[in-house]
Amino acid sequence: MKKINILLLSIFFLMIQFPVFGEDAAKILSKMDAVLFASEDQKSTVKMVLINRNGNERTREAVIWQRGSDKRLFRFTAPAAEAGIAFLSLPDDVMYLYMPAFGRERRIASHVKNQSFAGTDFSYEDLESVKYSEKHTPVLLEETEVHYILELTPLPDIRSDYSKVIAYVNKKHHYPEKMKSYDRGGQKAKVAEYTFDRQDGYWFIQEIFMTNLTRHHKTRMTFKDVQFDTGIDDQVFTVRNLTRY
Amino acid sequence: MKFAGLVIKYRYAVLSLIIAITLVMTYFAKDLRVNADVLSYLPDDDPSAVLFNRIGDTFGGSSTIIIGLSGKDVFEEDMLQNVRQITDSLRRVEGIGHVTSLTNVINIRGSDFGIEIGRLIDEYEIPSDSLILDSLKRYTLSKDMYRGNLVSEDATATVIAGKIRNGFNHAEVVEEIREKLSDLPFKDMIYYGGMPHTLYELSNIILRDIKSIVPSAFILISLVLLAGFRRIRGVLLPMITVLIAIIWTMGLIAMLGFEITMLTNIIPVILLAVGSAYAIHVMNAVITEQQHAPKNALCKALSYIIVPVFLASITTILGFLSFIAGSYLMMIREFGIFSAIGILFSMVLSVTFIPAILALLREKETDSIKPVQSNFFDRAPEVLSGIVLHHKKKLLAGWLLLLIASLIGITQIERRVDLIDYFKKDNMVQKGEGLLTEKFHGSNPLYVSVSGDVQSPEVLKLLERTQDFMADFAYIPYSQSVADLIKQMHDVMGEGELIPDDPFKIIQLWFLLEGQEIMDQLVSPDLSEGLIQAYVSSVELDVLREIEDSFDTWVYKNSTEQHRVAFTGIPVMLKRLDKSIINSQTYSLIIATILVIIMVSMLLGSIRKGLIAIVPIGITLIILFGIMGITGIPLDIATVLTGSVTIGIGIDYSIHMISRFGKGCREGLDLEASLKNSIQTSGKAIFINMISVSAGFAVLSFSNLVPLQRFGFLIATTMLIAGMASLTLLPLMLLNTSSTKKSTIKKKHHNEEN
Repeated sequence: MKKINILLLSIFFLMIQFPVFGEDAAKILSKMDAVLFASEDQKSTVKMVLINRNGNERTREAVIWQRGSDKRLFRFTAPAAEAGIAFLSLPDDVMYLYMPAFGRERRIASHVKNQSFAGTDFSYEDLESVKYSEKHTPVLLEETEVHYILELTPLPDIRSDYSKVIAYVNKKHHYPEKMKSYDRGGQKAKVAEYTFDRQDGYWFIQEIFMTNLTRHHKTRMTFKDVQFDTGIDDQVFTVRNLTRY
Repeated sequence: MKFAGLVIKYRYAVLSLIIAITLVMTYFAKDLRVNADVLSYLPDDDPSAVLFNRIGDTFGGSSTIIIGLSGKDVFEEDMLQNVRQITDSLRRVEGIGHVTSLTNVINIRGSDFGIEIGRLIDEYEIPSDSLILDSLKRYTLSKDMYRGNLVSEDATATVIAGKIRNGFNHAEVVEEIREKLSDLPFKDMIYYGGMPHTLYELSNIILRDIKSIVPSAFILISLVLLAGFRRIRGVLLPMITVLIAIIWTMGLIAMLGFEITMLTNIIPVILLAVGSAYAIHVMNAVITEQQHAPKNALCKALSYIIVPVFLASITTILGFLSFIAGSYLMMIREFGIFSAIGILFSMVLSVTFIPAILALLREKETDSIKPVQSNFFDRAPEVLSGIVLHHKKKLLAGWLLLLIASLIGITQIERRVDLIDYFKKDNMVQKGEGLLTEKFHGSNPLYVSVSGDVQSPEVLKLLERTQDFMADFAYIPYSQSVADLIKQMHDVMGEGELIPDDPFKIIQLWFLLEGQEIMDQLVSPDLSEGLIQAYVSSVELDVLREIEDSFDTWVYKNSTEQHRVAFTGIPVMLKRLDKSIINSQTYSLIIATILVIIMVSMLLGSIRKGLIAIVPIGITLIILFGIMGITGIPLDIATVLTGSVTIGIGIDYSIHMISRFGKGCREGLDLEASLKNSIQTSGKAIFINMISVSAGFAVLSFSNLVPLQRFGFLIATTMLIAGMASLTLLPLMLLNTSSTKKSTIKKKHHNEEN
């Protein structure tokens, strides 16, 4: 009797976890990760357009080097006064900042991940390149003609600024088209809309349009000159390289 | 005669018309809205109001509501959770732009872990460990940015400040916040402060008080009228007339799309005092005539009384219209115009509504006149006329003494602009503002704006210099600008807490601050203007004067073509508001006095009479202000208005007395008899009006608002002084100035006999 009860209970829980049968949520998420982190390394230029409440726009440009999913260098190139400012992200939340006017680097405390990155609507956490499946429990909420709608809840030991993220994953190509993030108070805080393009056999983000609902501010990030697997040297991701400008 | 006949003939038409208008006006009056935002009364082109509004547009709000939270220790997990909850509630109010509290304030620090530009406390991970809380407390209290600004020095209280976005109704925003917070389990620890809240509470109490006190005032006035006239209609008709006049005036205000302001809400009071006088004079004349010759009494009484009532109202109307000329503030103009219109309504109704009703009633009763025994209201004027005729010197000496005492009193008169004084000691506004003044930097925001490229060292250094200058004032304990943040950033980069000269350094430090909520409050979106935010802990007039003067000088010395410095804020606007109200009141009182002299002189055909008519008013004003000086009632936005009531009521009393005196003389009575007659007829009406209205206003002493208490006391006093001046001093002057005439006539007579 007891055994049957436990069985029924686990079936019940399984049903809650996977309300819609078909492709399973974890699989969808890992496929999405596979698309997002397909290449070994990647170099691109990014244009960030910051749009404030009144619709005024400001533009910044940067070059990004990335290797694997945990090493990244962001170096700003425009406007001129900000050229040379650089951020280096290394594994285990180690982050360095370099400001050429001061000629020195500083470490950035790891617990400011929820702060805005360079005035954009992306927090340090948003820009973190960690696989979604490593940080979240996915649940498939709904399957439409074009999307899997996943609800991603941070794993218990993960420190996140969001209580959940709703991801709209393209059914055919498994890249996300829209992500809605909810703050820890449960309020919808940000909406990111993605445009993907294909090059050298990889799908890559061509544009992210992020709307910050609390700040009434928007950011459009457009990626250009994308190069894959050029064999970026490990030396790029060092403090020494960071300060060489 | 003609007019009186017409009213009586067409009484049905007159009454129907009055009822119809009243219905329409009631319809409009019920939608009347109150605008308690004192600051919105400044004209749209007032420089400090323009800047205040522009700052509101550019920096996400300029008016601030402050929530205080007081307990044993702010740095306990529960308390910080409460702060977070309040912060959250405020954020969800639509009209609130920025919220600043312990749980969302920026924190810049350099540490072993690297530089940190984040929050002081992570609102979602509030520490529970007492060691961490302790070190957080020490750190927070060590920084000027938080100590006294967000947390009290003894760490028993903290504040959460919300900026109200432009274009939102302050009262509605405050109400929503109050509603939200009153559901919280720790609501007893919450205090409220800031001008929007003070004004919200002020208008609420005024409305509540008016609802509870006005009816008792009406009842009291009615009782006095009943004692005076001893006829129910003697009570009902004047009261209904006043009521209709009030409805018409308020309806008109609403119909024309105006809102009730702190000044126009006094109009019912003025109509009650002045408007009822017209009705009482008409009633009194009718009753007097009926006692002498019942036949056709209504028509006779009307044809006599209509002239003085008309004259009295015209001069009073002019007196109120003079407010338009001397005023800088829109609300004073509105007050002048609508008071004048209200007086006009009262006058028209007194000579149409009352006779029409009386004519209607006459049809039904035949034995309407029963002679009644004389009572206090008949005997008092008699006694007074006796005093005037037989104790001239004593009377004069008495007035002189009062005048001298008042002149001394006037020198003691205090000036105040602090709205907080308006509340009783146990009111929540007093408590909230008390907490904010005692443990924090006060609740009245002061802003200094500097224009120019905010990322340039010049502008940042100008901001810094201005803050240093502000720090010299004891009542501006702390100020904040983007210069502070840049200095802190420069410090964590290891180069000292100062503004770097290298513009590249500034821009790169700035880069890290971007996206922080606080930046939107300190820098304009196009980076062309920086703002210094401060609070002023005192709004004593001396303090405001000093701020205005020193800041004016500072602005003058430091503004250049590229970098304009300007300042504004609640204290500045309060000062300007107060100054313009007092100025325009003084100005209007002077204009009104001159106008009245001219009018009365023309109407009564003698400049001397015009001058005589104004004497009781002038003396009443002096005594009124003298009493304020002696009793310590300050001259403020509310109390200064008693001056206009004095003018309104004083003119009426004078004209009635003078015209009745003239009538007596023309009818062949000698001076003393004519005087006695005027005191006993018109004087009786004045006496009834004076006693009833002062009794009614005395009720205001039970108000929950100090200014209403004072206002009630002052109006009651004014009525008594103005009445007594018209009943004793004016006759004395009429007697003395006419006696020369009398003696010349006598002489002439004597010569002719010879």
